[in-house]
Amino acid sequence: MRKLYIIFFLTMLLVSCSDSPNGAVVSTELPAIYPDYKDVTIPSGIAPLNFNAVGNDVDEVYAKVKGSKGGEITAAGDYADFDVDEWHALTERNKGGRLTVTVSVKRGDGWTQYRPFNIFVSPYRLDAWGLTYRLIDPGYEVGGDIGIYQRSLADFNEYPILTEKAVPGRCMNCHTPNRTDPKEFTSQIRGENGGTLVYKNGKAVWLNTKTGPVKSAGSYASWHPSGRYVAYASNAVWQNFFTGKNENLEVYHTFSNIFVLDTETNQVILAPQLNDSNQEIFPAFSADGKSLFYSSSPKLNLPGEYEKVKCSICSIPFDAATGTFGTKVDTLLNGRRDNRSYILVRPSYDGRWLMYTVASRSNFPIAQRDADLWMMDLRTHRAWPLTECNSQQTESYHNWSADSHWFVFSSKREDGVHTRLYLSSVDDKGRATKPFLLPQQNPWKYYHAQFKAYNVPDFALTKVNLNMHQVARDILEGKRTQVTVRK
Amino acid sequence: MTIKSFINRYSSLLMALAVLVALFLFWFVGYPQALNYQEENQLFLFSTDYFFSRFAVAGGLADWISEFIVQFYHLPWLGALALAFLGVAVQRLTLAVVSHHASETWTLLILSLLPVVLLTGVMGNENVLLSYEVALAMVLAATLGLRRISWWGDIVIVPLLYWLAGPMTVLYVLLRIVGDWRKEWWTILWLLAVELMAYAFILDEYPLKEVLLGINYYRIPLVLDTPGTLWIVPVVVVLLALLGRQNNLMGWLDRAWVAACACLIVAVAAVICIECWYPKDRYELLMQDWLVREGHWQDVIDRAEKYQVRTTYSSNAVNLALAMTGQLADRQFEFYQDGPSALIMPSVRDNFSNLPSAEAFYHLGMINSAKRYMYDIQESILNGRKSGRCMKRIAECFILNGQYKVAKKYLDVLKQSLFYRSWAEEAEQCLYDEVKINANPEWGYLRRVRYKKNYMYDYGQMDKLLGLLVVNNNDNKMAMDYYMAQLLLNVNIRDFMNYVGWVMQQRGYVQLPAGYQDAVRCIQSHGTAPGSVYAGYVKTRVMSNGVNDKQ
Repeated sequence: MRKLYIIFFLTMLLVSCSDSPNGAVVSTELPAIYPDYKDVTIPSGIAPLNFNAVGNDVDEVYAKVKGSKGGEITAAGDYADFDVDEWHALTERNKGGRLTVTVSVKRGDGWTQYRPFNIFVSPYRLDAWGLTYRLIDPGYEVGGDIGIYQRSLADFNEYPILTEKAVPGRCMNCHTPNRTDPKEFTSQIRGENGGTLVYKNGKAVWLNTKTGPVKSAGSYASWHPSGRYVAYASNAVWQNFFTGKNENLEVYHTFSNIFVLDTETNQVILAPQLNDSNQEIFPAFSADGKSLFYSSSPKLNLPGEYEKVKCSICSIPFDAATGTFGTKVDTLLNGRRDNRSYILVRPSYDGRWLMYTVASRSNFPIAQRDADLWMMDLRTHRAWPLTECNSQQTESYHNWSADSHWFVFSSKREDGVHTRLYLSSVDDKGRATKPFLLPQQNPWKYYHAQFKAYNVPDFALTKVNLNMHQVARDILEGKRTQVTVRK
Repeated sequence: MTIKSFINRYSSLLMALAVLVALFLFWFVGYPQALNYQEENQLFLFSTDYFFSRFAVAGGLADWISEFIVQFYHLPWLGALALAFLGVAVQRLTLAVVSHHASETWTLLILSLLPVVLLTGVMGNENVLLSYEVALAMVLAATLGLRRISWWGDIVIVPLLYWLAGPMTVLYVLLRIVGDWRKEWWTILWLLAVELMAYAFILDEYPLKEVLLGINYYRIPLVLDTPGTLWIVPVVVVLLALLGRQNNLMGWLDRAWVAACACLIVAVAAVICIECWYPKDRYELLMQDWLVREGHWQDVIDRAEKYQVRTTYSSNAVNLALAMTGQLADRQFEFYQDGPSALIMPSVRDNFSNLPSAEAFYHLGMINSAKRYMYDIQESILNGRKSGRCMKRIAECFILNGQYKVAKKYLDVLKQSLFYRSWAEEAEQCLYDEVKINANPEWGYLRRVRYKKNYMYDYGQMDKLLGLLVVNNNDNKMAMDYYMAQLLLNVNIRDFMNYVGWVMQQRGYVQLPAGYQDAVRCIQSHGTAPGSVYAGYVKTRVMSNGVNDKQ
């Protein structure tokens, strides 16, 4: 009899602890969840798409995920928090299929079960360990507690690469790897003891790229696929601010040119077409390394004529064997003619696509609210907006995965101020899927309390191994190798 | 019981009481502005995430306790009381540590005041954080409380104390050595090893200097500025402990004249601390900051009438106070005017200089500029802390702009604090409710008088920006006053004379304000009007060759 009491007591305890949505009222509506993961496409092996039910009156969430090719997992609690291993197994099993998510929400005494929604598991694997990005307080002239971080895509772990705490008072530009492989990367430090870091094969070289016609340190870098050359923009960036309530600031450059660094000789290669009075910015080598894409806008009286800044996308031949530029510049998209600004060109690494940002003006898209992502088929030169990815707010800073089937971009769609990272995939016809917000353990708690903006994301094939203390010492020491101009 | 025997019997207690009263008065009456400055450079949150974020670095518990205390500076009397109790704790702990091996002589009792006096002096540097004092108290308490623990216990205690209180742990190690008179020097090496291990394996974001000397004792990263004064107090405590160990000196220390000398040392130290480490001008500016924050405009003016620091900051604060009390047109040039920047300072990358300008922008209805300045001020806090004051203002600006989603982010953070919670909860009720916002006297007014059109901000064209503000809404009286004041500061006589009549009409002045009369008199006499304060200003501008070409 005593045993029966114990069993009864334990059963009651179990029932009261795991409040299941049995007897839930079935609703025909889709659940209101954050982030909006309905009908998104994900790669297998991604971190679980945990989500919160929207509303202050939510007591508990119960989510059941069932794969079209088998498998089922559940999560229950304050928010849907899936087990990482179970999620990985489910997504692997359902690669190319779909996951059907049934969400039940408890409010007060009653459960409501909502109409199921789908999450599609892409047939394309995302071949990356994680992402790198800069976290910076969005806004004005003071960067604050800025830092470059890396984040595992398989789980929720984030690791600092280089932060302002290690080098107080310095501003750092983003980490740019060669085709997502952090064995080769470049970065730039501004402020006292500023310099350009070129990291290759485990060796860090600090360069002073200011020389002769190169009037400032390099930024907005792009690696040549050979790993020998890096293209940089050399410019002076300024900000002006608006008094009205709809626009925040205008970013402009008083000059901007492009140079290529030969990392074997530490020489700068210049081309007259890239160093004229026009503003050339955001260089990007083509997949085969035979040409360099960039944006160009005519010389203007800035900031007064800020509304007239309309960038075109151009390309110029580049011969890696001799390290020389060709003479003929092709204009792929003419900003002046189209009364638009085509900026931040990013060719896919398979040479098939060209992704870029289109805004009504400016050569600094992240500050333009109407900036959208567009794609061009490099075989046909047909271009179209990525409507699946765009919103009423800024979309920008996109980068491709190594296999060119995934891309990451930043968007201000949540609140118009703080950029967040989204991932989307592209099929063989160039169709992008509905993007998903970078997963977090407790998404609402994380993003609502995150006051920093994600800046210049890129994929990382493997984890970046950088000794932050050594880098900080190098920066503070200030020893720089002076580059020279190739004659 | 005679008074003498009463004093002898309760000397220690009376001393503690005297310290309590003296410190309370020092902070509450003498330097309440210092409390305000500390409070506005942090935002303590009641959340586990906040606790663990502090606890993640060495000295984190001291830092967390410190920020917990500093939040009470919001009420200066409470902050002063908290500081006074902490000071008493330091004095009592010092006395207990120092006299552990000796009888409690008058001399030791008096000398136990020295660390707390020096500590108060060191904190005259507004960048020294309270965590420094908290860490000192923690280490002294550990020295006292763990004195019976064997030396081998230090294998655990040293790293634990290092993580809780930071590198002040070196004082624990030294006091153990001095106290027990044993040559257990390995503990110093052990502490060093602990610090180096923390540097290598845990604190990979922090420079070695900060790991060794303190991450959270000073607002400015130590690689940028290392004040030597931080080490005075621990050194003095060790010296006092050494003195307390000299049993052969006890009789000597009991003599009245030695005690009198000790009194003199403490008194001289106190005077030197205040004179050297509480610079008058700096603290006057901090006082202006506090008064501006509290909206005590007449107090700003009254103080400036007696003494005004000749800086742009002070000009900004006084001019704002004059405008807020309707005296700017009359009295602007009675006060120091630091050139064309005297109304609004250009953007400066620190956590203090732009505060009155940010307030001026807000009250003028230049909401985006107020938000920008407040934002940059907050981001300029060099230890990366947020500011309750700035966050509140930024949230207001987002509300005024109708950006409610972002505003809620700020309000939800403020709701986790003690002193901003009720405001944030009230403000939250207004989100998405245009009627409620417009019915709020301040917000409704600012929405009416702000820019109606979008312009690009240009600091060099401040007079035009102010003029456009007036053009956008004639009810913006403060903008009118600022516009005319800026013309006078720019010595733009042509525009001043062109618009003075119109402003008279718009402002409803029955007669020309005294300041404008003085300016007109100066202009008409080509700068030679006797007794004209504006003529004095123009002369200074001409001498500094800063007058523009519009005169």
